[in-house]
Amino acid sequence: MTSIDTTAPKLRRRRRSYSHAARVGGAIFISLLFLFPVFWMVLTSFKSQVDIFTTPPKLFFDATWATYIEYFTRADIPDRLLNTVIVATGAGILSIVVGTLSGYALARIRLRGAATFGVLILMSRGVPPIALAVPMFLVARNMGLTDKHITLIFAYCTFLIPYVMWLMRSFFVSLPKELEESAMIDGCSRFGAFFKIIVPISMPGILSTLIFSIILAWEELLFALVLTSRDAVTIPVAIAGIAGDTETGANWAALTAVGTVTVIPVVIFALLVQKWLIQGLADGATKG
Amino acid sequence: MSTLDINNVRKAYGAVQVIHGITLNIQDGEFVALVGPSGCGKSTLLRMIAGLEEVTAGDIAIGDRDVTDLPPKARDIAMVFQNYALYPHMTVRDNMGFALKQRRTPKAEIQERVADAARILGLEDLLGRKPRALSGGQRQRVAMGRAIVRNPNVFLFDEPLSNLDAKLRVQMRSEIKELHQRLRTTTVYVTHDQIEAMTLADRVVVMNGGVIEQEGPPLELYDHPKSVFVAAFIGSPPMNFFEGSIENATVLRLDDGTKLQLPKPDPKGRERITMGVRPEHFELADAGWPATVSVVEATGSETQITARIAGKLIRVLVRGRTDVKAGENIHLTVNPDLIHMFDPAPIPDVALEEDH
Amino acid sequence: MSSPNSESPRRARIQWGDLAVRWSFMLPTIVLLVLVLAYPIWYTIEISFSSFDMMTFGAGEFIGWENYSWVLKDYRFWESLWVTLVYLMWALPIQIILGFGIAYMINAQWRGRGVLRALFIIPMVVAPVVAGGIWRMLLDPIWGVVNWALGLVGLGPYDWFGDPNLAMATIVIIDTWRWTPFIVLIATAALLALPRDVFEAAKIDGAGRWATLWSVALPLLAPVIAATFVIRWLGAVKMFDIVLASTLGGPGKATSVINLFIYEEAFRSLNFAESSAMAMIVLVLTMLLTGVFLIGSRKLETMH
Repeated sequence: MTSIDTTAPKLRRRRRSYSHAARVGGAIFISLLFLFPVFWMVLTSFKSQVDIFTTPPKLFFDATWATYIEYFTRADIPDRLLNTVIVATGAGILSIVVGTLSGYALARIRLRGAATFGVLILMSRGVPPIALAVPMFLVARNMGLTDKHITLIFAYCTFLIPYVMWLMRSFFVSLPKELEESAMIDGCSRFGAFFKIIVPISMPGILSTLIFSIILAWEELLFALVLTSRDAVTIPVAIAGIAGDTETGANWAALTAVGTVTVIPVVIFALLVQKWLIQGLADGATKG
Repeated sequence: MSTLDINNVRKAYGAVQVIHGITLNIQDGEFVALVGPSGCGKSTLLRMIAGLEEVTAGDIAIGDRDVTDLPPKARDIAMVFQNYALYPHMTVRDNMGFALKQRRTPKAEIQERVADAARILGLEDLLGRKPRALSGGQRQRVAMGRAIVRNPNVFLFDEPLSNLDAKLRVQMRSEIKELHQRLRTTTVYVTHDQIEAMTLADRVVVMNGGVIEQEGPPLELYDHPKSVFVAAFIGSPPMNFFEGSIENATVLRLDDGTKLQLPKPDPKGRERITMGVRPEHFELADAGWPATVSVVEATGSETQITARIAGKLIRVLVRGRTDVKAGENIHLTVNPDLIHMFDPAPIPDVALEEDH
Repeated sequence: MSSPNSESPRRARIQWGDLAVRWSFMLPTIVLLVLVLAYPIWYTIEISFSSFDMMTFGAGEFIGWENYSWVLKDYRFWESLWVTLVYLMWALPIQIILGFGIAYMINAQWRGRGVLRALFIIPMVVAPVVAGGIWRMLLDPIWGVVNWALGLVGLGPYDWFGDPNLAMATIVIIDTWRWTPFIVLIATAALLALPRDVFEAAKIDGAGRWATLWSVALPLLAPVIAATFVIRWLGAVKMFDIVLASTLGGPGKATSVINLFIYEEAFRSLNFAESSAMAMIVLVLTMLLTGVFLIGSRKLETMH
């Protein structure tokens, strides 16, 4: 870090260690502040109804699995969780396969007109999802495709494929093109060079992108709300239902328990790929 | 092993033509260096031979086979890239065996050939390592190993030594030479470094602006450059040039009015010429062209003198030592046979680049 | 420039084969996106110019700009656009200033820095609908932790969801909580990439801390800040989940951002034709503004 220090030399050491400590302390405090809502959610999910509604709020209480047991045995939550797993992994895998291929094409293969497609696809990030949700709902309804996993998987491709394509493109651009050329001289076809050399080398990037795509699909609400009604309902829809159910009063136990189960796997995966993720963010910011 | 025939090959990107009809016939076992400044088309030509760039017009044959439209894998060539292009996820052994594996060579044979190549290049102890665990020189060697394992018809080298430091570059240069003397595989070697080209090749092809400027054995290019460009490009330190008009057959009148007495008339009788003299061909004498010494650099084996003739900086190279001092006035003569006379042409930047 | 033998049939056929191979990398993406992206947009356009036929549940007869003029006369549409604008005008600057400020702070050299940066990912990956839900709980006027904590220092109690201004603040707070870490991570990378010698030169020239920040750091960071703004803008105009899970657009229509409004018009009131027209207007507006921002950020980039 480029710290800018204007203090006189003899004072510098002491002043610096104070300001350093203040910065570290501040950093920790701010991080805790940002983590608090998640912490409070997990905490609340283990509270019994009596412990949730107290003033002051309770930090110590008798932890109970009651809410989890109630919602993950009796109610339809396990189904929704399964739906979410199916849809998110399905959409993630489909997008990674398709998007990696086209990302490679944009990065490496001379194709007349492909760049135009690339820009069009990039521009699609500006399309409000609601402009897609309305026609998708109408078409799906008329074709009897509502409330099916596959419909949601395809709907998620609208934002996942562009995302994967541009992330993988910038990844492939950073690889030396001599790798494929060498492979092609060594006896590979275009596909051979891609699958035998480029894909294995890019595996960490591909897997991280896959995980992040799954996370994006896992959290999606609008399409799921519009395109599912009973059988393919996903967890975000269920949570929106719980959160929006104002008639029966706030069901915080359910909200926090289901929320925790939704968030924890995502957090674990995100932490696994954090290094790549941060790199991708930085690249995304500088390369648009 | 095979001949390589390039026949009137052109390359255009859209309307921009970058290779303007090159014809080059390479003998079986010959080592040809393509040399020229960046942008001269040497790499593009090499990549067309490899099949990595489409040929716009003309054709390329390896042996008796027209390979113009064949994909790289069908050409039976091996290429060493500037950045080596080692497959980072494979060990040295797998890197070297990859091409054979693609041809479904039996495992035992792959192993044998990889072991042979590794022995030749001294890579035996590194076979189990991944490229990232190798030094620059070792990577370069693996890249060569990967090429020789194939026993291809033609070796292609694209600036293979550019990423190495000066000392290693000299060492690898002699290793490449030794390897070629041993394997006698037809080789095309692209470099911007004329010393590499001169020391390695049987034949040097000087390219400029997408055409062949001159080709021939290294010393022929040194002795008889056909143009200012080649003269400037070949030889280090580069040749000194004087452009001016001929007066009275044997006087060269420079543009600032200075007159230099020529030891011989221009054989072609031109009115205006660019005269060239290599630094090492000047001799210090009591009479001749007057010059003022500005810098003297002695390395022991030779002494380089930078001097001015009529305000123009020239370089003079003398063997051994000399007692000439900065500021001194000297006289220079040249053996008439060692004077070059060209059609006037702008002196390319290459002559001004740092020497190796 | 002539290429006499490049048109031989043999060569042409081989190039076709290779062309097919090349395009086959791109083709799946094109086919899928035409199917799920281009076609729906086209269908939205079609519906927006038609009356909606409840029998076939699709586009009815062509009625020209009627839906558009109906939408443009609807004060709720304008109100909703205004709400969205207010949200954007608060959320984006706050997030960017906070994000770069925090990045500057946590960038201090110490051992836990990496861990901290990793933990900052967590709010980003909390599903927006969950984020809305948790904050609804945290900000609950009676039982919420936030009001209790503010009460300790003598503030409040605040009716976060009952007061229109506070409800907007709620949305901005939740969105800021979820997205500031994202900006912190980008900013951290950007700060690390700043050339150190420029700062040393500024120090030697006797520039103070603030002078350095204003005249050295900010101009150098301007392109990254602009790029971050564009990315955030593209995300923020899609604001939907958080509002749905926290304020539900209320009280009244105080936090009914445009996406929520269109959603309710379409799927609660079943005004598909009008909501298609609204969606198209929003799409065009978004594209135009995105274009303007992109050109602006490119300009910034070339300026420095």
